Amino acid sequence: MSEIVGVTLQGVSKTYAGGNVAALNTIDLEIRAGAFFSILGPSGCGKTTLLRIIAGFEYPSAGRVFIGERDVTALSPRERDIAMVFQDYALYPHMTAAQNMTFNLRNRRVPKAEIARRLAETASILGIEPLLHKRPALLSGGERQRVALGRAMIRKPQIFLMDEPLSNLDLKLREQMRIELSRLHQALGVTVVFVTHDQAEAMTLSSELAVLRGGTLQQMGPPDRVYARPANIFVARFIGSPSMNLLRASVRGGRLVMESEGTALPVPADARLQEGEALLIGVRPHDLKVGRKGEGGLAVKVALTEHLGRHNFVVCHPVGGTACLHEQDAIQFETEASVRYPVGTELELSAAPDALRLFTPSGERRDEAP
Amino acid sequence: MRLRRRRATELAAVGSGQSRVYRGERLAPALMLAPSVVILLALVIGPFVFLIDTALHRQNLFQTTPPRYVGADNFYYLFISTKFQVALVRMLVFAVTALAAEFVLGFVLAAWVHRLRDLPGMAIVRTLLTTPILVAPIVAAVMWRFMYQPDFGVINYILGLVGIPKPGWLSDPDIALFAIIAIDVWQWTPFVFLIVLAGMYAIPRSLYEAAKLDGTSPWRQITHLTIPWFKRVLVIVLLLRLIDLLRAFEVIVATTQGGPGDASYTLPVLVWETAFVNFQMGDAAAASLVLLVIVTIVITLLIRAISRQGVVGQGRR
Repeated sequence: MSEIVGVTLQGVSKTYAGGNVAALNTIDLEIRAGAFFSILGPSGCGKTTLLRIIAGFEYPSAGRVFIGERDVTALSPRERDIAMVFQDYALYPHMTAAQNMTFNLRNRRVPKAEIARRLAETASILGIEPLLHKRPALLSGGERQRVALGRAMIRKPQIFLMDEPLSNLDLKLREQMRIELSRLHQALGVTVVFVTHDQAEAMTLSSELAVLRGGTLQQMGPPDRVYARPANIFVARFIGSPSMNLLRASVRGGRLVMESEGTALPVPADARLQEGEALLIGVRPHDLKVGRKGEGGLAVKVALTEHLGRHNFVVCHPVGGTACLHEQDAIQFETEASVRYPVGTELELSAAPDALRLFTPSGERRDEAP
Repeated sequence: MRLRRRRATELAAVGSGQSRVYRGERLAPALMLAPSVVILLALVIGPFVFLIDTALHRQNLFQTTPPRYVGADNFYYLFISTKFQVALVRMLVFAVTALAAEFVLGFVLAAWVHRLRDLPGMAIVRTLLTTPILVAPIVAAVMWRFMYQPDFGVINYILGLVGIPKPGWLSDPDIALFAIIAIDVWQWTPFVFLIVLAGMYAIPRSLYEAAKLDGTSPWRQITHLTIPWFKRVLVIVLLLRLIDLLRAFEVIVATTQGGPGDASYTLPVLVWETAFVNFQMGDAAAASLVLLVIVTIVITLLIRAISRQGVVGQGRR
């Protein structure tokens, strides 16, 4: 087995069309050896480009790529000792699963006995022994996925790259493969770089993740930390489902007063706020609680309730004008399944001061990280 | 015949009360098919029967004696004639050499264009490479005849500049057939090129990327990825070209008319000469039937050999 190494990107930029279209802006990333690292972002954010630069299919317009200590910026894909699982699996259609998996070893003239040994080993780890003689056309999506994984694993590469490998699977299978991937990563202990647009996937799988938007790195860190302390309102809205509520407010008399008149929330204890300062408040749906009327919480009117079995999400609109920053001016909060509010009910919502995330009006994090 | 018998038994089986409606329903499809059957009869089956009939008679259009039935005599004299044997060999040499050259060249060109597809100006290169198909074969042949002309042709002019001896391209028996093959290769390599290129574009990019990661050499990419991927397309191109090459005619007649001597005398030329130079219609009909049978056998063998490998007509598996 090759030594386990990390990946380092130093100031990687990529421009297309003679420098007119920027796909990536000066990305610095440090992927630790053995990490399950997700690159997360909406489509078109440059995450696949970033992965392809690590793979060597594309060369950065500026910056350097290191695998371990080795500068691979100018090396071709085959010299980088990496394996990739493609979104469409890219299995060779005319080869059986076994031939697909061993193609690399055969290219490198590995002795036949060694190939057979590794094939048996890999197939047993993935539980695909019965599929080995079949061609991809006869395999289901999940089975193809496993064969593609096997093809990557059998080479024992230094780095695994995965480009949205679960996006072509149905929901059930995707959850199953997620668990499988986690298990494999723990068993093999290799470095995985995983590209996805699905925040749930990134949250559950990664030991660390990077959020990308418009070719610019927004935030990097362990998932729980990024979830708890988003660096800006884009990350705040992108991670977590349903999204974080964002409200316009200003500091008045030691309280956060909403732009819609008469409603206010307490100020977080550690925030050093100035009187009159304008802010954006972020609060997750599960942190909003229904308070008693007249206590001066956030006044809202119920518009819709989504029943999800164990709990409900209630969608409301602020009373007395626009307070929300985001689309449709809706505030969401979570209740237990037994609690029902008829449409039109007026409620006052409150939140614990430390559940509030403060952002500047331009959308950057306001509260200092402890 | 078998159809009619089946219909009769079916009609007998049906109760007489329903037979009217039933007959109408049976008749409708037959009526709708009728026009195409008539056209087929008039344009294919009729002439074919006439051809067989002609092949069994001795008939010269320049003589007033009526056609005389001679049985298989025409075939017998055809088979024992040296001309026929020479023509057969020439035809096969012509077809196989041209086919091989067109395939190798077409494939190499397609692989090259596909590899450089992202460079600016490749669209123009692609178009330029395909233009020879647009030239009418007879025009191409005449044009090349001028270029091959030993004394003032452009090819020998260039050779003269370099100081290489100038061959008589179409007058040297050792060269003539290959000079004609070169014309066909020039004109039809683009056809192979175009279809192979289309096949290459159809291969997902990720497949090549996976192959690159798998450390596949460019040559192995072609043999292990590209060729298996569109084997079926290749087979169809192969068949089309082979049929075309076995009956290649205008390019030979417009350049050498089968000469010098019998250097480029192929079976189609033999048929043409017998029928329209010597007006021996019976012999010509026999020869063209033989040509038809040969082409049919070659094609059938090829299709069968390929379908045994599961390439033709058996789905994607």
